[in-house]
Amino acid sequence: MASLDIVSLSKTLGTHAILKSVSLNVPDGAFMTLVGPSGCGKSTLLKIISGLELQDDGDVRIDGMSVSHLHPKLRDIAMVFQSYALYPHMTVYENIAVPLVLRRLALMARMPLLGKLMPGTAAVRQKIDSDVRTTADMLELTQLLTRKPVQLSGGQRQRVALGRAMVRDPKIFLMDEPLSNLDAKLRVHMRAEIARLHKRLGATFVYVTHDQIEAMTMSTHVAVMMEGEILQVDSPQRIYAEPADIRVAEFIGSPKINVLPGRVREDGALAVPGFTIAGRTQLPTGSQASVGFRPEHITLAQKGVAAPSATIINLEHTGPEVFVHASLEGLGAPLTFKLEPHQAMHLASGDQVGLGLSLGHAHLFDAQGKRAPFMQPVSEVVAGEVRYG
Amino acid sequence: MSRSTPLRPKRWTFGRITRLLVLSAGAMIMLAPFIWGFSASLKPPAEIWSGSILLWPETFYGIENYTQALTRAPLWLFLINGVLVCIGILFFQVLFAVPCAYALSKTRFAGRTAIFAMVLIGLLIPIHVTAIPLYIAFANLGLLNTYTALIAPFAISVFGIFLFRQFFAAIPDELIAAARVDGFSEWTIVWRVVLPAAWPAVTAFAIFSVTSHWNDLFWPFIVIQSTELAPPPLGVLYFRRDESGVDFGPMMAATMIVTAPLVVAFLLAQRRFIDGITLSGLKG
Ligand SMILES: Nc1ncnc2c1ncn2[C@@H]1O[C@H](COP(=O)(O)OP(=O)(O)OP(=O)(O)O)[C@@H](O)[C@H]1O
Ligand SMILES: [Mg+2]
Repeated sequence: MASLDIVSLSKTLGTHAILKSVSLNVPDGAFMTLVGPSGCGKSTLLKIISGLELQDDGDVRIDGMSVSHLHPKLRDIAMVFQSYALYPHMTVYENIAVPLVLRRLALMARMPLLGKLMPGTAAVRQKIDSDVRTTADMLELTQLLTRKPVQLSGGQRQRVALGRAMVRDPKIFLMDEPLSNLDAKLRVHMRAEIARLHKRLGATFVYVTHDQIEAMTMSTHVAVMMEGEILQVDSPQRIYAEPADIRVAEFIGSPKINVLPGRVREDGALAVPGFTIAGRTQLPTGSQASVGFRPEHITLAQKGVAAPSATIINLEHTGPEVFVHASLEGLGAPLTFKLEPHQAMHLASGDQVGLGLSLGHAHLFDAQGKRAPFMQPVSEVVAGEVRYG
Repeated sequence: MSRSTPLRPKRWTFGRITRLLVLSAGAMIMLAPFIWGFSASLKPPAEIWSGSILLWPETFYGIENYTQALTRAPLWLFLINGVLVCIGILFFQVLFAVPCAYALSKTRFAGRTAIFAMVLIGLLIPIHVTAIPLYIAFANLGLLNTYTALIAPFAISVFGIFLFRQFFAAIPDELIAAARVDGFSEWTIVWRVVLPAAWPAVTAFAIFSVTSHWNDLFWPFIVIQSTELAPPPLGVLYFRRDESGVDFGPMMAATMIVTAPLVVAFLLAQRRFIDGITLSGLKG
């Protein structure tokens, strides 16, 4: 029930710039996922939003109001950590109740004996009790309320951590890789559970992960971060289909996108190792550029059609699909593409095959790695102007 | 902790026998004074110096010795003094060392490394070096011969700070971060989150603190003159100042009584005691 604005946030530790003027807008009720390789500053960004770290420069705003000067307690945000960070000496019940007790009861009322004498304490305690039980119910923790964290499984601990965050109904949830300590099966389960929770609470979530499947499946928005900068913020679909930067294209998608380095020719065509992609680009003549094809956008060329030829290095059968690794002459790294099992039936390593490139899905990037459009939709020029060899 | 059950009975190999012999010899050397003391506490004066090495007295004189120990000097008072001083010292040590260790391990501030270095240097300075300046200071403040003089010099334990700091360093930062977001103040984090999580360290430290101050003779000997304030080891010495010279029977009986609380405590909490010592990686 709140929007979050991050305005040119910078953070330097020692001589190392961890965040370089990061700006991000998280609309009310969004599920914003931050993805990026290890060490790119995701946790640091989250800590600054929560107030656990101070930024060197920039501002954090909740509903348009700056909270940069506020203590974490006063920002009305909740945080879920990778290690769950449950209080080991408290029961599940106490763990969930802690944020409420600390907020709703004055210091005096919290004292074991004195508290009983304070007027109104009993009513507050009762409200806390019912809130804790409602939350526990929602997360199916009712049976476990008297246990200590050591007596819980990883998934149960994670649910307690979620409960502790949810119980006080914060405006914004921050989650730092909450699922990365779980095994694969539980992770899939909790993924769905968190997504459901988001819908149910309608709160604003900022979720950090370096697992791109989590990012793609749970979120309404994905922000890709690298080396202290946000490269692109978009819906998961657009992040995949229209990466704004070559680093985004390479980070999102598994197996990785195939990138062919090239040079822009005088006529606007792009020369890559082994062949040329005609079709005018807006890029200056002679400049470096690269073109990317996702594995599913490369297939075998039809018989009799002139096509760039590649040598198969090996085949990976995963069941529903086959990943083919092949080397293209003049290109250092092997290409990876995806075939249906029946297409790959007669293939073996060492075979020469012709590649069918789906040019309509090609991604063009300029010398700086920024996305560049083809002048005309490439698919229209496939027939006449694309020349191979 | 699970005990492993051996799959087959252990063989009496040469190595094992040697090991046992060496350990037994060591144990005997450590225990001999206690055994001798206990035996002396049961003997009449004539028998103690008779040169016989019989451990059990020919005439049982235990009742006389122990009655004398309990009546001739206010032994109960010494024990109560010991308890008060040890609790007082431990209370202040924990009160000061825990927040200090928290600051040194979980917060960032200028000069943190320098302060920690000073703590480490403090570890190297024994009480004997500071005894005389402290004595003069207490004398000038008119605090000699008081409980304050017994407790105050030990209220800040660098060893405690060091031990807790090492232990707190192992507590995940995320736990502290979670506590801050949940609304704990720094002060409540120290006592409600960090301290309970570090309970084994506190137990270990308490064991070291209590044993060393219960048994301390050096400092009480310097600052205490009146009998009513003497902690146990100093109290035991009063048996020596008798006109009849040293009266070993009652003195040994008093020593046994004074040692008993620690021995009983050890037997009751043996497991914790050993865990505590292993935990801190140190031995007395
Ligand atoms: N106290 C510190 N002093 C100096 N550098 C630090 C400190 N804490 C973190 N860093 C650096 O800041 C960078 C960002 O760290 P951060 O924890 O935000 O990364 P992350 O994106 O969360 O990575 P991961 O996915 O591994 O959790 C890293 O390069 C890290 O080495
Ligand atoms: Mg991180």
